[in-house]
Amino acid sequence: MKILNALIVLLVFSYSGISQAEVVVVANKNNEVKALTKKQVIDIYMGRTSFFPDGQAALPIDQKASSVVRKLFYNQLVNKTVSEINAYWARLIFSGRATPPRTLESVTTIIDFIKKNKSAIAYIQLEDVTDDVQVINYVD
Amino acid sequence: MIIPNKIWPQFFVLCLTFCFNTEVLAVETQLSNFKLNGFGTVGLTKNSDQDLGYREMVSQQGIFDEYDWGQNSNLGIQANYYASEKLDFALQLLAIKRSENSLNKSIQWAYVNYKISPKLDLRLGRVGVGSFLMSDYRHVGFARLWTHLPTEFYGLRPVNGVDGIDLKYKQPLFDGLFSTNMWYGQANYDFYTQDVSEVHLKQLFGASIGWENDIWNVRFTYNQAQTQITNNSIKPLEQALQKASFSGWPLAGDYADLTIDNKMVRYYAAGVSYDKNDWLVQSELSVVHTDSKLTSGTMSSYLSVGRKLGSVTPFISGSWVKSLDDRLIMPTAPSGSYALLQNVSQYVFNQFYAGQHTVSVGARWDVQPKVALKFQWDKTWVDEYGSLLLDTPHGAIAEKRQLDVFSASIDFIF
Repeated sequence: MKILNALIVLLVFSYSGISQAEVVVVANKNNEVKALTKKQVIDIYMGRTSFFPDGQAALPIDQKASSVVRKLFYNQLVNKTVSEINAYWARLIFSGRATPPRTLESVTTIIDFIKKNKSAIAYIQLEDVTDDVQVINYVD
Repeated sequence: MIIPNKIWPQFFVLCLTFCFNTEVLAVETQLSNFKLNGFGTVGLTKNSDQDLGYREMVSQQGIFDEYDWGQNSNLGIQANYYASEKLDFALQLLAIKRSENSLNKSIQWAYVNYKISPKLDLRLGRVGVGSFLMSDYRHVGFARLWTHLPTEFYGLRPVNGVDGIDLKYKQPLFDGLFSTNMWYGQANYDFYTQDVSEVHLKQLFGASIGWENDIWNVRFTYNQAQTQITNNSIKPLEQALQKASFSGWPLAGDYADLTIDNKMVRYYAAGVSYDKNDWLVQSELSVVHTDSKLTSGTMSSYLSVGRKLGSVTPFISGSWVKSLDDRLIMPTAPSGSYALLQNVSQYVFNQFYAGQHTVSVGARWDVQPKVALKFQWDKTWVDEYGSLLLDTPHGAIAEKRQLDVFSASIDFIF
């Protein structure tokens, strides 16, 4: 019985290990903004502002709709499912109140886009981070 | 965007095809400054009553004891063009079954937005102003929990866009966002009572103030406008009452000024929504006041509570509307020759009285990230003659009635 319990615990841990893969926020290397609070990331990604705290325009990027990383990012950021985020954005888009993040199809395209756009901000898995981008730490 | 009634079946097939191919639908334009989005609903509605026609808004014809695919179905397309960081253009077209259709009515929004500063936006054109919590996305089924908006609250407010100017200011405050906007312009809506009257709201001025964070959204709004009614069928009755007051029925004169034309109308509204720990609660309260003797205005409200259980969200809601004053009663005619005038006057007075409340239960199921299925059962109690919001081809009903309205829908965005 104890072995069974231990197995269950192990399974739960390994499962949560997969689902908690580290997602980081990245930006252009020349962006003077080096850190953001969680609230500032929420404000940018939920359309409450289209600017970084230093006043420069922010251009948020989403991973493709079916991406697991996208699902994880929004779950960690605002504890919402992709359906809920879509319903939230439907309210903002169709009332003309805000523009949603631009969706790019692959991590390579995202990194390439960040390299070329100083105002771009995106989220990717930690293991996908390259020297072409800087990681923006954000805390609660 | 103008859909003749006979092609509705094809339209539904088209919508259904869209629903199950959302990935195909996701329009990825090659021009990065140009965005195309859309939304749609395929909705089935069934009412239980043969005399009182259910409708979500007074601009629509009612649904009687029948299955209806038209009233709660629509398709919207929105194009945005971002000319620069400061300047963008938007156009939204909506195909929906209307009692009278035109290209002008199909244009929901058409405006230019200029970002004066990071906190200040100026919009010119036909703009959605958010007079109530859900009014500027009222046709987007995917954005709401229910199959339709609470009829008692939104039924008398079919105004979509305001043709004019809108100024919006936003500012972070505490852990949320404070925003306020002011608008000025004009708007139109249809009022269907066996015939379409177009209500023109001119010199429309409004303002709102609100605060929102991840959990709360609180908003207060005020609107005022001068009404102008085309196809004013009240006029001949006013003339008849005026005439009677000079020729033997002086009391009739007290009722000769019935017009709702060229009167001031004022809307006051407050709304709050809460979304935390899988609970969704939303409520709005509003008072509409007019200077017309025929209808002094209404008070209405609703409260909805939903609970997320994975991808399914069951909900229960209650809503009500009541005229601010009692129903107008025409005094008894002094002689038989005025009996017809008395009856006609009373018939008209009865049509302008609102008193009904509804309890709804239903659920939303998010079957895919961009597709939701919903069903809802509304139990509505209508007071004696309280059917202003309903379609009453045989006139208001002299007794209390109960309606059961069943609705199901597929809502999608792309």
